[in-house]
Amino acid sequence: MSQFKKNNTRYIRYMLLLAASLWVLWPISIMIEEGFRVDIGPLFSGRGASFIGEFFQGQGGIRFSTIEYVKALRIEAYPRLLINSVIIAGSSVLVAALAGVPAAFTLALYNFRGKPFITYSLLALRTISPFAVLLPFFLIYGRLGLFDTYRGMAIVYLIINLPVLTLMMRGFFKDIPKEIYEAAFISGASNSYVLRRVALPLALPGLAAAAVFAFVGTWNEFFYALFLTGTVTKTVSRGVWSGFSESIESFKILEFDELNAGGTLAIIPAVILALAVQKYLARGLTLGAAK
Amino acid sequence: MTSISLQSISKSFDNNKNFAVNDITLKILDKEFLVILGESGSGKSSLLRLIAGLEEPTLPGDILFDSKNMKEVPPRNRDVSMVFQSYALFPNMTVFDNIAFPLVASESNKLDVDTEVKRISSLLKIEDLLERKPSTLSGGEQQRVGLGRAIIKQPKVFLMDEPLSNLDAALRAELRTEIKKLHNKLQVTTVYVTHDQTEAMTMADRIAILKDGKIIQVGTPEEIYNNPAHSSTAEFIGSPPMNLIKVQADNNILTVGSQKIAFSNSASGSIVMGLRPENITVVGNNGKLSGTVSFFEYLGDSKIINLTIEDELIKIKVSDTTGISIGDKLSIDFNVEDIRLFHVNGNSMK
Repeated sequence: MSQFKKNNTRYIRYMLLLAASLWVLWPISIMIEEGFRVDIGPLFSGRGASFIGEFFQGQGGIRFSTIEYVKALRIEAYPRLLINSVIIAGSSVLVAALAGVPAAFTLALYNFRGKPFITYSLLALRTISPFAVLLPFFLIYGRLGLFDTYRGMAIVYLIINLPVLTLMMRGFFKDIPKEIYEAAFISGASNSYVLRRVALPLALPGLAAAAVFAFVGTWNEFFYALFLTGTVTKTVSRGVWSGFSESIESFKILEFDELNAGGTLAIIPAVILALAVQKYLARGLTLGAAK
Repeated sequence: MTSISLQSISKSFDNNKNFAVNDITLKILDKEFLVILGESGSGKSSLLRLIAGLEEPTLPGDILFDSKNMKEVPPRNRDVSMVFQSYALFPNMTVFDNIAFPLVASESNKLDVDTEVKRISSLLKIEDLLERKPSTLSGGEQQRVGLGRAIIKQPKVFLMDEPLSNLDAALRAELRTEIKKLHNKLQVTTVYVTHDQTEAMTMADRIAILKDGKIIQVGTPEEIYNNPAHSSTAEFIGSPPMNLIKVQADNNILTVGSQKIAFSNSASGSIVMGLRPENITVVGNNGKLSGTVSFFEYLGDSKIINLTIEDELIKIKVSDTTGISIGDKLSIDFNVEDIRLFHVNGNSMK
């Protein structure tokens, strides 16, 4: 009886999970499918579909093809978009880690005046609407000449990445037993020595998870990219929306098959990275609350 | 060459509502092995952490190493070593790196790391484990590494926070001897925290007994065993601990139920009489008290008779119980000099 009940609730749970994942995967599956299709109708334009007798010969219409992927990677400016995204996300995450890891170490180990304020400010940065800060950024970037530069984009994404790195790493540092730190300090080690030789090696998987999480977030970010990048630093997320052509500067009519192929290519690195650190990702996202 | 002097040290973790350590003044002598003995929650670990500098005293009070005030000195500059109950080894480092850590981490070190690690590891008989990671070691081996990490930098003071509590009984006895031997060899002032009275009795030069954040007695193991300052100390020390019997005192007569013992004292009214199980003998008849045998406990080398005397259960430690069975009437005798008297509130009468 109880076994039956247990099985039943398990089925229900699986059904709900299945429904939820289908809901998430549905648009992605459409994107992937569309990317592999090519409309060969235009090849026969003017002639229309061919008929021999009354039978449709199928020269026109939709076919399975990898042509859009080949085009994106071989002919058009798509690789340039990928490189832009790697540069911007990579440098932003690197800077965020250099600043965020020591900050997280301090927040995890020490009590000092203003610590709650700093913690909540970091959290608040995560909740701010991009609309609120876009205009100031727009004006400041115009004056400082940071508009459409790698430097500028790396800085703007610190808004997202610094809180992520700091708060996640604080959780991982707090996971290390207190006695380990105490043993290190009593042994005569300085703060920076404990951070470099004790805390960071133990929290390295956590750092990888936090870095991947921040990197993927930046990779997928669209809003700031839309307004602050131009023909030099256009990122892949923006390119997938606005189209890409033989060169990054040129404009062309949107082709949906091509955009879908580009979109599919763009999610591959993110998925691989996320899978690589998924074990630590779940723990990091609770910011150290769950053990 | 370091003595430690605690001068009215207090620690509260909740804004002075409750005190984990309550106004403790204590002098720990140079080269002494002082054991702080107390139940969990008595504040013994907090006291140790205050000495280490891992906690700061709540109220004004000073901790002096020799004559140097440690108030502004952070743990890493206090020149102490600590051994933890959880070992607290660095899991990412080999045994060699763990032991070498204090030498490598502090800039002021002038000792040769390789030579010192070799010397310490052979002292602790762990020279075969140097390339292993802590997670592959047994608990006893891990604590040996912990001890090695503590002694390598030749500190002024050793602090040990229940170092043997996570080990099984046989290992505990083995390492107990080993730590005592180390102390005799190195002659470093040691403060050792434990809840285990056997550890305290066997290792200590002096024992400080802590209860509810206060020291209730400091003395050599003999003093504490013979003259407990408080009935809770009497209950804590000895196996089995001291019998505590409610008696009425009047005119140099102690009355247990309806049985009377002549004992010259100044008390009157309800008091508590303490008597060690090993100081009581069983006699045929005409003993000072008599009662009924309730049950036995076997300890191997000795046996405990549990005797009911007028609602009081008294333990008697004997080597042989031949001819005695449950339900027998038994007469017991003892020297009146072995009697210890306590007020009902626990304080001993002098």
